[in-house]
Amino acid sequence: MVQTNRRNVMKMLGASVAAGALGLPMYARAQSAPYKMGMVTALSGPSEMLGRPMLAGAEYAVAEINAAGGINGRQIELLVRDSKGRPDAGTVAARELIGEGCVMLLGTVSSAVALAISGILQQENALLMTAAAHSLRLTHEDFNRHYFRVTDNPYMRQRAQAKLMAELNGDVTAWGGLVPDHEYGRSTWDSFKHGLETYYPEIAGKTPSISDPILCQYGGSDYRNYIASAMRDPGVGFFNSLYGGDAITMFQQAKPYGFFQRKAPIVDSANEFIAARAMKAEMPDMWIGSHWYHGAFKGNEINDRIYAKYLEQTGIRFPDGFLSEGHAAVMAYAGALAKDGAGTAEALIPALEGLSFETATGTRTIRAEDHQAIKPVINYRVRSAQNEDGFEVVDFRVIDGAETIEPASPGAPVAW
Amino acid sequence: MLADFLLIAINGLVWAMAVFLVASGLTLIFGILHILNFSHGGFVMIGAYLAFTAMQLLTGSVGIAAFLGIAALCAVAVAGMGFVIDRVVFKRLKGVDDSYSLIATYAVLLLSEGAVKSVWGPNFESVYPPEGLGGALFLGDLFLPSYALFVIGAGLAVFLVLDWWLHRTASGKIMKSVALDPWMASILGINVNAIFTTAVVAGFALAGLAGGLLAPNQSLSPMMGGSYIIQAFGVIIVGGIGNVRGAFLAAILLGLIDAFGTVFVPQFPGIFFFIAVAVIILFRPQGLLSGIR
Repeated sequence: MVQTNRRNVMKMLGASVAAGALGLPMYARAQSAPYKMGMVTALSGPSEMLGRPMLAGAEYAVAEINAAGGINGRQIELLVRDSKGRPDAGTVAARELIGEGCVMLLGTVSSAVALAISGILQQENALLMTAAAHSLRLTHEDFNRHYFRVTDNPYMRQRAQAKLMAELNGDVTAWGGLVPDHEYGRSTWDSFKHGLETYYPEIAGKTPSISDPILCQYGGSDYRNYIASAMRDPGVGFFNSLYGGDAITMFQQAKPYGFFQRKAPIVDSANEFIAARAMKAEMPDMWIGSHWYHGAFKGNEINDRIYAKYLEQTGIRFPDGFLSEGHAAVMAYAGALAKDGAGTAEALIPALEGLSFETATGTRTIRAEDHQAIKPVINYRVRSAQNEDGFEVVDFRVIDGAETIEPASPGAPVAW
Repeated sequence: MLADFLLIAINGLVWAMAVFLVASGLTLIFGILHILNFSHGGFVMIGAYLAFTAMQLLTGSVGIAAFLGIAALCAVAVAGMGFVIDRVVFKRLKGVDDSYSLIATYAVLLLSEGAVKSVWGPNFESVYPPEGLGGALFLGDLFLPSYALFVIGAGLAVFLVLDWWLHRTASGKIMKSVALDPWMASILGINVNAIFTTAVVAGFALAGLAGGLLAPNQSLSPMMGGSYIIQAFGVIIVGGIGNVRGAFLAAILLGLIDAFGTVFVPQFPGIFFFIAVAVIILFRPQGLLSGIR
């Protein structure tokens, strides 16, 4: 036991002063150091045109938050790595960011990349907030508590599209589909088919007849045989979930067959404005599912701000929804940090569960059970036009995601 | 039923001729120089982007003659690039291990992708068939897109010209002799280096021509160099590497197998091409035909 004499008291005082001198600035620095967020998105490779606007949206959100004084008096630092759209590169990028102190990861365009990163989150004690990856497995079979999705999923979106078709085209009951032969393609079709079976009887009072989907090669250069099969298909309305370059190639090759005259309406799962910007005046008339459409949320401050900024920077009048989703991912983390400023995975997970936060599409809520955001599902109808863009949006619909979302079943597959 | 059968066969032929257009330059360069040019797809892509720009510059509708002229200009432009690549890269690859050739030509492919991204950007673009090829022909129940028939005709024409050149002209026969025995050819007074350069320039011209002719066939992006190249490699391997006739036959065979497989076994789209390549190579590892023909 230490004796309480003058010499020992002086020693303890000296030690305390020294400890304070060394330790307090470290503590103070920790309290004022920026929160680090790590963005993993495709900045090269075939998905670059999706990853770039996602990054821009995240950068806008970080700049806005920092300009307003940060969160809890601390700035946000956004570190960025290129996933190249590949699971191996995405995982390496995620590990690098975690090594640099990023607990909060965000971004990812591809489900394959998201699934790969999701697998390392628990061992690295980090979080991932995806802003586009749509695989249902992420919030079902492969769910883990460190994963969150800030955008919608195929169950929500494709069922919303089926609901819209039942409302607008109740007389078109024969449906077919052209879908890529991979997990995303099959889950979009399962969701759309489920939506047709649910909403046609309910809204149109009719039972739809649904053909088996025509499975298409991913990354193909020739879709003529698939188109020929689709032409023979009894389906009148057609669903497409070919994506990006594959979709454009298929649309190009389908036009001479009169496909778009014989099959209508066409519902596209997720091509945003990608195909329309490429095809311009040759763009077929179709309903397209999207993460965000600026024209649908005029008056929303975030919507108007990010649209104006992006237009000024790029000159693109019809930005893709990846812009708003990158922004929303940062806003979700910011909301969680405002609830609990520790910035650790243990603090952020409960803070994110059930969190409501503002985005370009209005208020979103992250469902506590499976970490799936409940957000509006956006669809717009695009067709060719004689204007400087070569196309126009002739109609849009915003459907409440809460109406079409699946019951939460983390760890278990979707029950159809 | 007969109409369906014919349509599938014609779709198979369209695929076959599109791939042959790409593979012809690839197999020509390999036949003469014995270099497997990984960058070939990149120059097909550059040809397609040049056609895209040319068609944008020509405001108003583009007719078939103008479209063919554009494709010819793409061939000339890419041939010029081939001349430079030959001087800078291919000349240095003579007598070195094959692995160096693969690395060097892959590096050229990456450079071509980077160049396309720098000039045209990363976004998708599309080109539409010229006026007169945008519609379709109706033969009873058979429905034939005009541009698809044009691709078949273009592939056939390129094959006939190449075959005639290699087998019926003095320069073609000299080229074959250099491919078979460059040392003996040089002893006989043939300028072997000039023949090598001619083969490279011709191979790149074919890449540019393929890009120009096929630009309306699919979407354009800086990644499109790879969209045909796997099939093109499959075709030249099955045909017998370096053999133009073999490549032509292999393209037709693989195109028909893939087309009928896709339609009649729709659960496995795109797999029949690879199965056919594997089976044929198993039984004829030297390819359908061998040697330069």
